Amino acid sequence: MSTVPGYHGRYLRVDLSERTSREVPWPDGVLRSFLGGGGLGTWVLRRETPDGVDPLSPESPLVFVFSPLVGSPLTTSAKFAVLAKSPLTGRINDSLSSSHFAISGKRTGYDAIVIVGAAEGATTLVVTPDGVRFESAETEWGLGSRETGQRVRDRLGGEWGGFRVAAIGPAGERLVHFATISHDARHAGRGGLGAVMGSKRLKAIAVAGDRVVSFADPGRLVEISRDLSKRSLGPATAKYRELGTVDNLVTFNRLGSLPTRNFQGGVFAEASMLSPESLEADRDRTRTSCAACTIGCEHIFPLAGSGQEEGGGVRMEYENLFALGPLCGVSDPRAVLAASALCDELGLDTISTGASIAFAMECAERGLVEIPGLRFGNGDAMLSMIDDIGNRREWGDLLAEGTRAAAERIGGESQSFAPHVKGLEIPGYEPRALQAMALGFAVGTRGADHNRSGAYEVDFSPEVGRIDAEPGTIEPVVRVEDEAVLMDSLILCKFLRGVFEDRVAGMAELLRPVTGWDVSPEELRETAGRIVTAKKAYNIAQGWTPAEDTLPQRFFEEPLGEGGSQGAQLDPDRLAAQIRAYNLQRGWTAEGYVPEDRLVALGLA
Amino acid sequence: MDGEGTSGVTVEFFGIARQRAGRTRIVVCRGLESTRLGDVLLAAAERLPELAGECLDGSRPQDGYLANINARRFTTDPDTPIRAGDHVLLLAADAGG
Repeated sequence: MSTVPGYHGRYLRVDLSERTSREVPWPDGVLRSFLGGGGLGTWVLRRETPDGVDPLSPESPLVFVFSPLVGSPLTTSAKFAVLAKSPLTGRINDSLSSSHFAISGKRTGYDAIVIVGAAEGATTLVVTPDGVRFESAETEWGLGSRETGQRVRDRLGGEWGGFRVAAIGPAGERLVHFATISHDARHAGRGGLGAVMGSKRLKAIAVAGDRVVSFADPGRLVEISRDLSKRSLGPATAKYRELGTVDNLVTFNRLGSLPTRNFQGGVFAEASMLSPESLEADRDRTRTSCAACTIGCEHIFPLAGSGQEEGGGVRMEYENLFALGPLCGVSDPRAVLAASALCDELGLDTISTGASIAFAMECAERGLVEIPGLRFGNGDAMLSMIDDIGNRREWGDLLAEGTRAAAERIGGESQSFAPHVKGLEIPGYEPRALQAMALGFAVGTRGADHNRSGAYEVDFSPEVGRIDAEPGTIEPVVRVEDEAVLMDSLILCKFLRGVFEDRVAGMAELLRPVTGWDVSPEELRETAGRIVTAKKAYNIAQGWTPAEDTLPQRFFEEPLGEGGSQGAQLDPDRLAAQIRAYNLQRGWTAEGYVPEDRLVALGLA
Repeated sequence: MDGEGTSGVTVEFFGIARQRAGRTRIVVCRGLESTRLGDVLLAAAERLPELAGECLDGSRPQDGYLANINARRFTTDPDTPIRAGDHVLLLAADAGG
């Protein structure tokens, strides 16, 4: 079997029901056509997922995918993707994360690990170059992911130089539809892949090995790695290094684009209490980085008196800050930090958790539900509800299904303000104030998502007006989505975006010495279109309809009331026209279906 | 126009620009009824030399930075008309979260 540099040339397919595994070679051309990470994972999912499968059934595959850059000296390349059909959306979901798990996982000798079936009892899957072991995880069941990881590592010892572990917390065990998969205190966060893992009674995956891949031009790779590292320490990443993404909160508030009180507004009067300066006022912030990263955007805050100091504090980013702060009307930094830490411990996606609670708070304030104490601004009630969601108690059991499902049960007008697209809760980019992002949310194959689309970049540019996005919005929205899908497939951190003069050309330059492919920017752009279309084709096979590509009614009917985006609202006709234009730009029908000849042209038939 | 004309242009700083400026805002171009973005940014850099180079490139925002007029419209064009009473926000273009 010939092997492309940067790859092992095969994936491992594990059947938990049968307790078997086998190696599967990549068919010719697949690696160059799908690269790695989210792209290659999409190819695997299309091959392995039965149409209409229940995401939490044994037949539903869970896929861990590495990438050709993992193990190289390129900064931010220690990343992996996890993919499955989301229990939250019923659509494709790829969650990316960074950690030593990526490096150790690739050293097992596989480019991906595909898991099907379900174990009879709580299980830890151990993968090394020697093969696969299925070990009992009964003693870890019920524990948080951090403690689980430590116990598994201690038990497995120093074999292969030590193991790295990805695990689920109690939320994943209880099939909370937005449960995470965690490792090295980081998370594959969105879309509920932790629940997919829990449905297989798979508590943890431990990986270790010594298999390294060759690179086509090691000298050139070292040269460009040094250059990229140097650029990664320049002004383009200063914001992330010095302030972290939490800095967005104050800026977004000034622009009226900070989602507040379940998207009822874009300005939070108490935002200054959650500014980086306020968070640091009586806390010693520390900074760290992902494995193999020179940027170091992780800003860690201690939680006085909570016992979190021993665990290294809590990592605060814009998304957990916005979701557990302004979105729930909470301005007490202690409550927001504690809520974030509790989500980490239980294994909950902070965006969906905050959005679900904010939605319930609005339902309670409107009298649609009776939940004592759950009102905007009540940090204690928010903390209590997080615990109830993670443990599926009382109202938490319903909210654990996400806002779409909760609104269907609660009824009334609640569906008009349940903050989701395709079931995935909306992140911290107010769509009325950032209307290119609104389009990105609507057409996103994962649902409302700022990482796969990245269309907020278009809003934060002179290219189009962010509140009255013109017809010229389509091309840049497609362009940044293509760039994002390439970064998610190589995989590189998106915080590197600013260091490339031409992102696609820059990524081609990185890929050449790794793989030896004489890949051009034009080829990569076609690859991006192929991957986005493959995701769309997956969704269509799983039941997608054009009606899903929209946003909640609130955004069309309620203009923003104050601040920098005062009066902004979405126009349904304009958004529908933009969606049609987007679909046509992608080579699909205006409704969003993929014609057979397009599938053939992209090698997806 | 006299009242507005003497109020100047407020430059607000966010993120790294705020860190470098050491303050949240300054007022420049007092006494002018109208001007252009480039002159506002030059005036800001004159008052706060720490901004030059990293956040400002002469009369333009540095690469990776944007100006925003009155919290609505983003621009990097130094010829953008600015009126007395306007607010010019200086912020990083990368809004990844």
